[in-house]
Amino acid sequence: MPRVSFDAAEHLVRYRDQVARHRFVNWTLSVHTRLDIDLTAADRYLAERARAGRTPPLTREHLWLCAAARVIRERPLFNAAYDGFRKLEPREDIHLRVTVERPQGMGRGLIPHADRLDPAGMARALEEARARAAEPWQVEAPPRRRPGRLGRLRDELAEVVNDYAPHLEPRLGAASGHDAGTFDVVNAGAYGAEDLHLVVLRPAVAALVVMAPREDVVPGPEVRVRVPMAVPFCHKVMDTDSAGYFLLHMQQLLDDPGASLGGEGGA
Amino acid sequence: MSRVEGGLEGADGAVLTRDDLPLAERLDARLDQVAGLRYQHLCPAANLHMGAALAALERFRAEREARTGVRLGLTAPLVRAAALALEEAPLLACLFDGRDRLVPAEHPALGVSVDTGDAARCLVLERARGLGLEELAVRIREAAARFRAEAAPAFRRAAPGAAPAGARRRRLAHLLAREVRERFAYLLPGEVERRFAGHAARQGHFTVHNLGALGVDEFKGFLRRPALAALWALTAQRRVVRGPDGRYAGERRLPLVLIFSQDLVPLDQACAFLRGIVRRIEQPVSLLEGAP
Amino acid sequence: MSPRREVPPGLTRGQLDGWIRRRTAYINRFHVAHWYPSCCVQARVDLTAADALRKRLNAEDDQPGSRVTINHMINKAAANALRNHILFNGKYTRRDSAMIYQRVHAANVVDTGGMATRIVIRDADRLSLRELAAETHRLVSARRLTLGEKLDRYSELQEKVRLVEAMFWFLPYSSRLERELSHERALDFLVENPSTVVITNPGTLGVQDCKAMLFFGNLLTCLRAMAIEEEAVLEDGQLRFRRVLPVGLDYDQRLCDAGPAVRLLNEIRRNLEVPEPYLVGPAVEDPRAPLAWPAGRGGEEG
Repeated sequence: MPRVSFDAAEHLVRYRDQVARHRFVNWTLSVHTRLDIDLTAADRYLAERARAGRTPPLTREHLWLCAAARVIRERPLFNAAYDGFRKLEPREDIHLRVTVERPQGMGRGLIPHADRLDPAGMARALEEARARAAEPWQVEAPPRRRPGRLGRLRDELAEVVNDYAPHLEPRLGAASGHDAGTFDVVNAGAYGAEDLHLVVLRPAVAALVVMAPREDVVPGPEVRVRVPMAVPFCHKVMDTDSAGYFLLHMQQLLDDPGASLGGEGGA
Repeated sequence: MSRVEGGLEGADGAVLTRDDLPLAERLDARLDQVAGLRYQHLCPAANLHMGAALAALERFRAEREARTGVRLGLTAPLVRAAALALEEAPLLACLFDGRDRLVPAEHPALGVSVDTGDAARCLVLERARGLGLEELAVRIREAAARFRAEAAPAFRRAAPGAAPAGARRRRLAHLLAREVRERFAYLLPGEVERRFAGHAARQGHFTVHNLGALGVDEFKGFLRRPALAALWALTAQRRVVRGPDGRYAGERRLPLVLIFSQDLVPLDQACAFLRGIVRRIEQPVSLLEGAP
Repeated sequence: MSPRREVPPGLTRGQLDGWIRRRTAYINRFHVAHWYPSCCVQARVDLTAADALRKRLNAEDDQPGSRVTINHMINKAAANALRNHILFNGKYTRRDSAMIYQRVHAANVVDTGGMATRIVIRDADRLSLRELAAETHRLVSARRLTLGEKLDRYSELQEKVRLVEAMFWFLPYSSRLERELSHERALDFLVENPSTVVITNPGTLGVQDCKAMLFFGNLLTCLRAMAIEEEAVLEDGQLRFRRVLPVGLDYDQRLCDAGPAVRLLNEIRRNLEVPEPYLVGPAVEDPRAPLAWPAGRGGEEG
């Protein structure tokens, strides 16, 4: 296979804002918590719906996005904005930022007010998000960066001050920056990932990562389709139990999607 | 190292008693790393997992080993697969200082980490793309034997008597100076490039670790700048799957973990790279592609 | 359909402000300065023999206060294995310094319904499995009884701390500053301190994998037990199922490479898979273990 042409300088210019967003002061101590979600009931629901010829055609992705939005509505801690210190602001609206596949590569789409959508509405919203998706290097509000070596030195000294006195961060004019949406959902399974540990960046407190489905032989014996899902979370804000209950709640909704996700969300 | 009554015999034949506090020595030796590796030097490392079915590779290995007489093992095909996959994803062989410098590798050098029983050491294969499977296998095996023979004994004699005056102060000054150098290297012209060259010479542009022999089912690690990615292979697992005929059969799978820098490597490119390695292991004839 | 588990409701919007104030101690503990680059290795343990032993022990003595659970067996297996890998039984003190402890005091994370807390089982390696189970039951019951009151008092205290912090905002950072600037107490052995290793069991929530990006706090090692799974295996062409427990070990990459960490993990696996000689009584010391406590070096006894 011929060597792929690659321009490192151009790549760095494109990803400049992402690099700024990922500076260590924005990392949360991201604890990866994974549960294999059984989608047998969800698959049955999708098959029945397809047999009945209902439109638009639905996929598992639409169901878990709906389920995630409903769980977040019940658990507002996951939708909050956190400054990394003492300020935890609940956010009213639930806007999911999702990864979308496109011919030109992965993009980031936004599904506004996702908790108000039923699966059919979610399918339409996901298509719209795909059409308007941002490039993976784009950042909604990147943090400020000074140019040159001395600029870097000043930025790093400001980081040291922030590190010791986070109270002073707003006064120093520093900010974490932020991405679009209020909660990230990453469909890593679309690219074949069997597990993915991500670093969550403040002001987010958690994210949802969905892996590729797997067929497990379980006692019976029978074969079950399971999708590993993970919630990496900021350990300052919550413990493993909160993330575990988030995933168990997802499982409950996906065990009976017709009743729990079928109607209007009623926000 | 052999055991003798009442103490331990070091590689140099000296008999050490356990009162020499080997743990203290060991920690002291490693604390240089503690001082030199702070969170500022780390990547925001994402860990990506995929599995590769091993059946085809095992058949391929058996056939090829019978023909050439060279035992291939698992590491050599893995390194070859990584070298080929890096051609399609040159970003992952770049070195990055965390902010302003992203330097691609014209001919990526691959590092192969070898467990010596106590600490890991790295074999660097220059222009790894040009090395065939058998040559890789031979070089890795020879290096592993050499590293294990050279490995420092776990117990070393403590320095006799009290530490010389001022030694502690000098040590602290050394640790501080090291940290300042690490942290502010970019202020000195040419220093970042020198560091990149040093890193490539010590660990290659991309490092492959094989923990398979140790018995590890899952792994999560971190990544230190300037590397943008590293690959870890774990112990092969046997999964039960149901075939199309409804029968259950065992399938051996090799779990692979790619650790990549989340800021600069988009998820789809990281996945495509790892899928490239999985594909080559599952279709091992492709490992011969462009072989010397 | 997956088995139903009870899922408690999440916090309401109105509770969030109080929640973050309650977590002040966690916010300080999980500050980026306290992280270190950890790796996690994980192994799957076949529980067939451990299950048989547990059933036998509980049939012999079915008092609720001394019933043996898998959780107790995990703690015991880890404590026994640490005896031969004492390098992992320690904590950081000041910057660039670490202490290794001779005694193994295992901290166990207990979920008390919304706030994780720790109980510390002293000398876990010297206790028998039955003694460890009884001690765990006793400590957990005592902690559950008193935690509600303690949390209220803790919240009140935090209010007062906030008032002080308003005047001296640097107070939570003064200890950190001291730690950053001091290299003084390097390698100070033989110091008494509760909790030398932490063992957590998110598996009770059904969590199948749980790893931190970087480890936190000052302990060198963290062990995690995940949810027990029914794994299909083929034996002589016959399909059967066995219970397996994924056990993870977080270690500091700066202090050792994967090899020694995996050897500790493998000893934990062996203790659980061959429980009769290695798990029931006090730890079996291996005089050849290269990372065991140096023989003849005193330490805090008794």
